[in-house]
Amino acid sequence: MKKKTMTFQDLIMGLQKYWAGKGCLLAQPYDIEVGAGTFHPLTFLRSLDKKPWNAAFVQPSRRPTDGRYADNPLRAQHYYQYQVILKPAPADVQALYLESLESLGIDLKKHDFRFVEDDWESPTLGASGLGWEVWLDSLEVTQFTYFQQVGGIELEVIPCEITYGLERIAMFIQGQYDFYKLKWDDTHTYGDIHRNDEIECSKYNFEVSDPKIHMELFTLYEKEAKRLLAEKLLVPAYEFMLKTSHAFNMMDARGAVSTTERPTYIARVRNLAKSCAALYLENTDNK
Amino acid sequence: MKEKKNTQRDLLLEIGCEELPAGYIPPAKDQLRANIESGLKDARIGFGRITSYATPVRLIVLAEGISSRQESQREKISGPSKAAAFDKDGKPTPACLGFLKSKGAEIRDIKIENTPKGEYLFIERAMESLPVKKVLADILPKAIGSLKFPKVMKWPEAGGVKFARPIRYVLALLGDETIGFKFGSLSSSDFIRMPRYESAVMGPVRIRSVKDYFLKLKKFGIEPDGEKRKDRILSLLKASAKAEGASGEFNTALLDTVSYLSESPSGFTGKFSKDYLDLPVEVLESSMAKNQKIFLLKDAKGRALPAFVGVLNGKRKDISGICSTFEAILNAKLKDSMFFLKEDLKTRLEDRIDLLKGVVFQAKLGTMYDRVGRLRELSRYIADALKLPDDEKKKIEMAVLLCKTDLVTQMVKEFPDLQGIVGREYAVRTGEDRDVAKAIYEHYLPKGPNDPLPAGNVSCVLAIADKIDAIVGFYSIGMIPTGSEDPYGIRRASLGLLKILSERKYPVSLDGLIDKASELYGNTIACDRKAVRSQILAFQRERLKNILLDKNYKDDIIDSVLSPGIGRFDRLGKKLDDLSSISQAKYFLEAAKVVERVSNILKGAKDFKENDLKVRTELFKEQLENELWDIYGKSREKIEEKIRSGDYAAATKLYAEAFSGPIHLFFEKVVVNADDQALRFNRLSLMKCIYAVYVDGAADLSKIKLQ
Repeated sequence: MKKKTMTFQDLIMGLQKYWAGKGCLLAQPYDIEVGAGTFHPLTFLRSLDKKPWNAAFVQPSRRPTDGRYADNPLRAQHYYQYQVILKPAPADVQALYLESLESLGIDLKKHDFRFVEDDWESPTLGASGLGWEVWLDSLEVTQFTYFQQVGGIELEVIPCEITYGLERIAMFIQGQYDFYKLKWDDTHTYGDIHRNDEIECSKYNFEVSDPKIHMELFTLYEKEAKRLLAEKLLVPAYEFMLKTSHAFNMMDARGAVSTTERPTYIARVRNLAKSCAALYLENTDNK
Repeated sequence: MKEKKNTQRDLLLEIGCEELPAGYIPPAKDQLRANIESGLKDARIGFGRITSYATPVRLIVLAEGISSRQESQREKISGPSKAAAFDKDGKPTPACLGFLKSKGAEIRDIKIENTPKGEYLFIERAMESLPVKKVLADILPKAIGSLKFPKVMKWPEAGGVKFARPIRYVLALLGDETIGFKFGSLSSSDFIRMPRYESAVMGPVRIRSVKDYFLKLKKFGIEPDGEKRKDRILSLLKASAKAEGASGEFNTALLDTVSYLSESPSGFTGKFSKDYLDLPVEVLESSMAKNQKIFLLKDAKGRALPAFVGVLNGKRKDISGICSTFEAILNAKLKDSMFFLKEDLKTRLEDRIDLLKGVVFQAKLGTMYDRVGRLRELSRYIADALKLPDDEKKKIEMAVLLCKTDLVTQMVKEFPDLQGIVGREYAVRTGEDRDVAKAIYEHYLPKGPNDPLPAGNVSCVLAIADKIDAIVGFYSIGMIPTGSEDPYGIRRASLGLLKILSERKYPVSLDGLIDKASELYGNTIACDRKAVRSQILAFQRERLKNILLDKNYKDDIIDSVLSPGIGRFDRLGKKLDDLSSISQAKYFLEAAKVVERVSNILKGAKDFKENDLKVRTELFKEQLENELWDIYGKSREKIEEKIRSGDYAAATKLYAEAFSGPIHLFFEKVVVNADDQALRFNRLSLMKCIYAVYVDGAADLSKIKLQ
């Protein structure tokens, strides 16, 4: 009997099962627009303290400038990450990761896989780490990072963040190098689910959105975040920080941010992220 | 096993890491060898040949013929003075006993020696000669811990140590024995891990001896020697090139990287659609190198062929699946680039100039459009100074207009590193003049310390304008390179600017360029322009000195020439050459002596203002004053004439002949610093005239180190 193709949803279920089996808490996606799973408070905030923390979750991620009107087989303004955060990073974390690929039916003996150096940095989150991009037959499928700094704070207990590009892995498994032709389940393609959104959102991000509104929103969100920080309301403040980050990305997609204003905006988001990190630690210490 | 005494054994160390960045590995490998070598020497352990190897996950050192014990050596330890060590009855004091106790010595070991400070206690004895294994357990962790990497990290099991990536095991063998030690919280052991192509999770393999180690490497097909891997890749490339009818030219930077991305390189040839051959070669090569680390095959004329070579980690029986994935990814990536190319070529570069209004150069310094406006004026200024013919001037005008237009192409947005290259390509494709197209690329040169300089006047003029505009702009708003930080590339621009100017020896001065650039910024910048100018000049002088030292000019000659101001670069070169060639001549040394004496007396007169330059002959009191003034009057014109015509050797000779005798006589007989203030100032003014007539236009020879 011919082996059934692993669909997009099979892939997610496979990873959920694998990582739950390794003792991860299966969390749910965060409900505010984020550029990556790292922005999820269960990654960002929980990386800061010394307590062990292992979690895994799907995170829909938005990168407005990456929109291609569904024309590009490899890029989109909305895609899915599968994020695993392990603290402290286990000594055999590379093997754990590779076994997860094998659990999805990828025979690593038949492929060329590499850990290609990548010094990851998120200037908006004041976060950085060392690690790799993982390449499967030259397709980048995962970002693998040992966090060193988060929210401007040097970490004492080092976590490892594994971020799978779900569409990329599905492409590799299905041998189908176009996002939109991927099988989501046995009857629907990825395109059935997301092609229209992608076209509409690309049009909105690049042509229709009003950068002035996003600029005003940025300022309002920032103000609110600062007010909430003063009130020591961590999660609400953190959420407004996330909103500033998205507002910035929206301005950026319209080309409304010059290369030189860019660092200033990024620094403004980073300052909020740093304050949130500091507040989180303050709260944790007081508990 | 019985330990064989006095037999030499081989030492083997393998540091097993998670994948190290390719660029970190060769230097780390060399450092590790050097660290172990010096560790062995310091510990007086004999050894033969030391070799180091490395793969992406292993740093390896083999030290052959390690002797079994430390060489014996006597040591001499100094103690307290005799007076402090014994009381008046000749009994040892607590200080003496304490010293002996701390060194584990007895009173009979003491020797007393006479030193310049008086009589002191010494102990002389044979140093402990420890078995080598014990000493190695100390040397090896230190050798590992002192490796330097551009970036290091912590990881949970590190136990406080940092490294480029986590270390997961350390194999340390002396012959067939494990050398036990700890690095951080990691203990050395007797196993290594398999290569990933053999076992994805790198299962452990026990190693019984140094000999067994190399057998195991062989068994797994690991090639530990990076140079050999590189050779192997090169022959793979050549074989593929031959089969495809391609030339033997490959991306050499990528070759260096790829030899440290695989423990056992094997290769395959893949194809891509001919449709993509329309992309500029650089775009193809950049995309391939950046996204997939694969090699483009090119024909003998450097044109792209629709084929590439991929290098794998380990051999595979069936590579068809791997190859088709590589091809699919490449085609998807090139499709993106092709889309950019087609879109880009719909708009001529000329018609993109207005779009530069939307690209900010720097928030406080305006847009790229503003910048191009300034570059046009600066280029005109430089071209005029160079007296360039009209056809070159026309080309420069065109090159200036086009030089930044590729910044608003989709291709450069995708591959920012290809700025200039894309512009040049598009210019060629739309039929622009060759020199113009070349200048679009070359005005960015040199980008690094080993980069070639722009060739030809069109490129050079534009390169100078581009750099001085950036330097003056960033300095004016206080964004100045500090320490090793150079976020805006200003240090790099300075170095490039000075290299071009000193190489081409153009008749322009930095002062002139800075003032012109500063003027062109107009009201955009509000700063103390004079202060900015001297700040820039001071910075440039430092860089220039280094450049000239590299060209083998003598330190003191450089200082003497740069000290009065850098001046025009055509003259600067001539001054350095002239003065270097006469630096042994008698008249040169005489001239230097004159400048030195005059300069010293001027330096000593703190209250003397340089604008009191006028010499009033009616204040002369001594005959020698009149005589010196006469000599000055007679020789001044001649010296200045030689300086103007750029004959610095002749100017120096005239100067020495005129003043060498008289000035020494003057100093002998006349007191310059007279009590009468007016008289003193007048004499100082006379000195200043003699100083300035040579130094202002030629060189401050007081900087010359006279033997």
